[in-house]
Amino acid sequence: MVSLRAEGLQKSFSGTVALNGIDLEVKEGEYVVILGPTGAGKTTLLRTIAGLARQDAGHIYFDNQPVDTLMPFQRGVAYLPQNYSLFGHLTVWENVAFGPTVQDWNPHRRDQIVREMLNLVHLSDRRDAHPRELSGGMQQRVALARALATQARILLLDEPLRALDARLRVELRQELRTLAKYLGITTLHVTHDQEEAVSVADRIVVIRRGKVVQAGSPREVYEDPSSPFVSNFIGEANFLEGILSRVDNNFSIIVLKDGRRLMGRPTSVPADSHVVLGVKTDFCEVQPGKSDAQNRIPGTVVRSLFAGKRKTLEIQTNIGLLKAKVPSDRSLSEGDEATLTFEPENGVVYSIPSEGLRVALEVE
Amino acid sequence: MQGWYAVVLSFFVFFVLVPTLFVLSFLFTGWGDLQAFVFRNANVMAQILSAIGLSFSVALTVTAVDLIFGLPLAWFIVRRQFPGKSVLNTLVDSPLAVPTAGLGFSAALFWALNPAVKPQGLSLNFTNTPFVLIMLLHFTTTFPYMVRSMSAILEQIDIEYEIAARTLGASPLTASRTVTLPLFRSGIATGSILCLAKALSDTGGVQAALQTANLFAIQANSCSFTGTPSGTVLIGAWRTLGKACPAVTSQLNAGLAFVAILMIALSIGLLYAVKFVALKVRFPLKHVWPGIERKLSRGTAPRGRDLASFAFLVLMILIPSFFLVSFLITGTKTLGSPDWGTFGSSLGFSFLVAGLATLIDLMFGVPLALYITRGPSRRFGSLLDSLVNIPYIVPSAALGFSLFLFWKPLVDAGALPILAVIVLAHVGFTIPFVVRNTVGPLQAFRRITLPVIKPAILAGSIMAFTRSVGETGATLAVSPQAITAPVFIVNLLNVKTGNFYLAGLSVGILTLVSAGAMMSMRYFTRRAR
Repeated sequence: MVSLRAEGLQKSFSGTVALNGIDLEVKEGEYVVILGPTGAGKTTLLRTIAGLARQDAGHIYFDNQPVDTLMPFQRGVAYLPQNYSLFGHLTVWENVAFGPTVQDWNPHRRDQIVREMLNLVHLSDRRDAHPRELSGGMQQRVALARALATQARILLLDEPLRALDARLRVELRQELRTLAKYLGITTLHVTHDQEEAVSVADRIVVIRRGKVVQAGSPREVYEDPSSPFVSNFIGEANFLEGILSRVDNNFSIIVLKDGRRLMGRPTSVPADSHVVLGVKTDFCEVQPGKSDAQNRIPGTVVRSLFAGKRKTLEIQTNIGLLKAKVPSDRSLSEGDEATLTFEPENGVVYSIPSEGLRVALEVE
Repeated sequence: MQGWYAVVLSFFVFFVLVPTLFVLSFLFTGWGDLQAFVFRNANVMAQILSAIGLSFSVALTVTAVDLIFGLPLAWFIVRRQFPGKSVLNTLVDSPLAVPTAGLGFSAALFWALNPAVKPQGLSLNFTNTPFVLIMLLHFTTTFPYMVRSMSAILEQIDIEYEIAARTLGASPLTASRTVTLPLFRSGIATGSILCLAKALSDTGGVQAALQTANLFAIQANSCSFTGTPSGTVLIGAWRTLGKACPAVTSQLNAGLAFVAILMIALSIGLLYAVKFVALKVRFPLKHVWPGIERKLSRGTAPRGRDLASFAFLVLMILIPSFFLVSFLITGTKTLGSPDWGTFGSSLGFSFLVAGLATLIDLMFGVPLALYITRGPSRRFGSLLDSLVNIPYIVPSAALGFSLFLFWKPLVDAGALPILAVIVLAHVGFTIPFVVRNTVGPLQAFRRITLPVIKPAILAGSIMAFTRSVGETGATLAVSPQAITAPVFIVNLLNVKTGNFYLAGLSVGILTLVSAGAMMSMRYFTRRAR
C-alpha cells in the first residue's frame, strides 16, 4: 500500500492551463474521488500522476519518494482509461496477461496472476472471448483486471463508469469500491458525476479550472460546501442575495433586496457585507398557501418535475425562481400558491463572489 | 431517383467496367492471332515476358521499400507535434504536383549513368540498369501515396490504446507493434495497393526516364524499338509503331492484347492477394521480446529509424523529383526552333480531356457514391464499391488499349470521335477518386447536405483532374496521334529529334498548374474540418 502526494502541479497545453497548482494528498488504501466539471483538468491530473504527461511544475511523491522522472510502468500504477482501450485483437486472457507479458514475468507467475484476476472480476469462464463479444460491464471488468494484473500499488480510474448505462453504473460503482477495498489498493477515481462521487468516495476532492476548490468527506462537501460552486455542483442549491445584517454564534441574518429577512448559519463573513445565502434544494420544504413567517418565502408553483420518490417543485417568488425537492406525495401542483421554507442551519452564507454569482456557478 | 440510379449504374457498367475488361474477350475472338503472332513467336513472347516481369518486380520491390521507410515517417507525422509539420506534409506531397513524365525525366537526370543531357553539378551518374532506374523513379511517384494513405488511417486510430499498453509496462516499440500495428492492417493494405497500382500504371514516367537515360528508343522507320521497356511502355510503343507501320498492325495488336490481358489479370490478382495478406494472414504480432524491444525503443535505434526515413525522403524522393530545376537553370538553354503550336495545343488538349473527364466523374461518381452508401441493397453496394476500384488498379495503358478495342467499331465508322474514347479512358482511372472521396463523409454523416460533402467532392475532383492532366499511357494506348502535354513531353525526350530543354519547360508549366490545383484542394479539405 502506498500513499500519494502531489504538490503545486502545473500543466498547460499550448496556452490552455489544465492544472493550475494542484495539491493533493491520498492516504494508504484510501478511495479518493476527483470530482469536477468537464474540462476542469481531472484527466490531465490523472495522466500526470500515471506518468503519461509530464507536469510543467510541481512534484509527485509515492510514499514520500519523488516519481517525477519515472516512466509510467516504473511508477507501479494501474490506469483504467475512459473507454477501457481493450485490445480488440486479443482475447480476455491475453488482454489481462498483456502487462505481465510485456514486463517479462516468468510464465508460471504470469498465468497464476491472470487466473486470480479473472476470478476476482468473475470472468474466468469468458477467458477466450474477444472484447467485442462482451457486454459493457464485462468489458469494464476486463480492463480493470488488466490494469490490476501488473500488481500496481495505485489504481487510477478515469471516468470508469461513463460508457455504461445508468442502471449498470449504479451497480458497478459499488463493486469498484468493494474490489479496491478488498485489495487494499490506494485509488484515485475521476468523475464529473456528483452522485457517483458521493456514493463511493472515502474523500472527495472537488477541482475546477485546474485548482482544488474543496476536499473532504462526502458528507462534508455536501453539507458544508466551501463555495457557491461546490454547493450547487454537489446537489443543487438556491442562492439568495442580500446584505448580512447580523451575525452571532447561533445564526446570521440576511436582508434580501425586497426587505425580507432570512436566517442562516453563523458565518465568519463580517456584518454589512454583500452576501449570498446558499440553500440546497434537498433541504427546502414547501407548504401550501402563502405565509410570510420566519424563513418563509411565498410564491406560486410553476412547474412540478416528478422523479420517483421525490419531485422538484419550481416556485416563482418575488425574489426569483426557487426550487425544492420534496416527497412526491405533497399534493401541490402547477398554479398552486405555496411557500418555500428552510431551517436556518441549512442556509450557508458566502461573500458575494468577485466574478459575479453567475460566473462563479458556471459548469464549463 | 430510381431512374437516375439506373442511368448511373448502367453508365458505370457499360461505359467504364465492361470496356475496361473488354480486352479479355480477345482470348476468344483473337485466339488465332494470339497463337500465330504471339505464342509461336519466341521473340515477341520474350519481349512481353521481360516487360511484364520488369513491371511487376519493380512494383513489388518499390512497395516493400516504401512500406519500410513510409511507416516511420507516417508515424512521425501523425504522432508527433512539432513546428513545421505542415511544411513536412507539403514536402511529402510535393512530387504529386509533377507529372510522372516530368518525374521520369528528372529522376533519370539525377540517377542515370549517362543521361542524354547533362545538367551541371549534382548528377549522381549512378546506374544504367533499367530495373534499378525504374525502381528509383517509382519511389518518387509512389512514396507520397504510401505515406498519405498510412497517415490518414493512423490518424483514425485512437492513441488511447498505445497509452493503455504503455501504462501496462510496454515499451514504445512493443506498444506500437503489438497494439497499433494490428489495427493498422487496412492502412498497410490501402497504401500498398495504391502504391502497386501507381507503379504498374506508370507509362510516361518510365518512358521518359528510359529515354533520358538512353535505355529506350522507338524507331518508327524500322518499325521497332531498342532497349527494355516495362509492360505499359511496351503498350505505348507498339501502339505508336502500329500507326507508323500499317503492315504489322494486326500482329502488334495481338501482342498488345496479350500484354493488356496479362497486366489486367495480374494486377487484379495482385489486388486481392495484397488484401488477403494484409488483412487475413496471421503475423507473429502477439509475441513479445520485452528486453530487446525496450532497448530498441530508446536512444539511437528510434532516432536512427527516423533519420533513415528522413534521409530516404530527401535523397530518394525530393531531390530526384525536383532535380530538373538544376537542369533548367544550368543546362544549355537551346530551344532550337520549338514547335510552339503543338506545345500550346497539347496543353489545351490536356486540360480539355481532364476537364471533360472530371465533369463526367462528378456527374456519375457522386450518385455512385450515394448508391454505394445509401442504396437499397447493402450487399450490392459493397460489391459495387470493390468494382469501382478495378479501373483504378488496372494499369492505365492496358485500360486505354481495352477501351480502344471496345470502341474501335464506332470510331472506325466515324460515329464516335477519338476524343470521346480518350475522355472515357481518363474517366475510368479517375472516377474512383471522386467515388472514394465522397463515400467517406457519406458514411460519417447521417444527414447529407451539400455543404457537408462539397469539400470532399471538390477534393476528389481536383485529384481526378491532376491525375488526368499527368496521364500518358492511357492516352497513348487509345490513340498514338493524340498529343496531350505528357505525350508531347515524352516525345520531346528523344536523343535524335527531341528538345530536352523545351520538355523541361513544359514539365515546369504542368507542375505549376497541378501545384495550384493541389493547393486549392488543401484549402477545401481544410475548410471541411
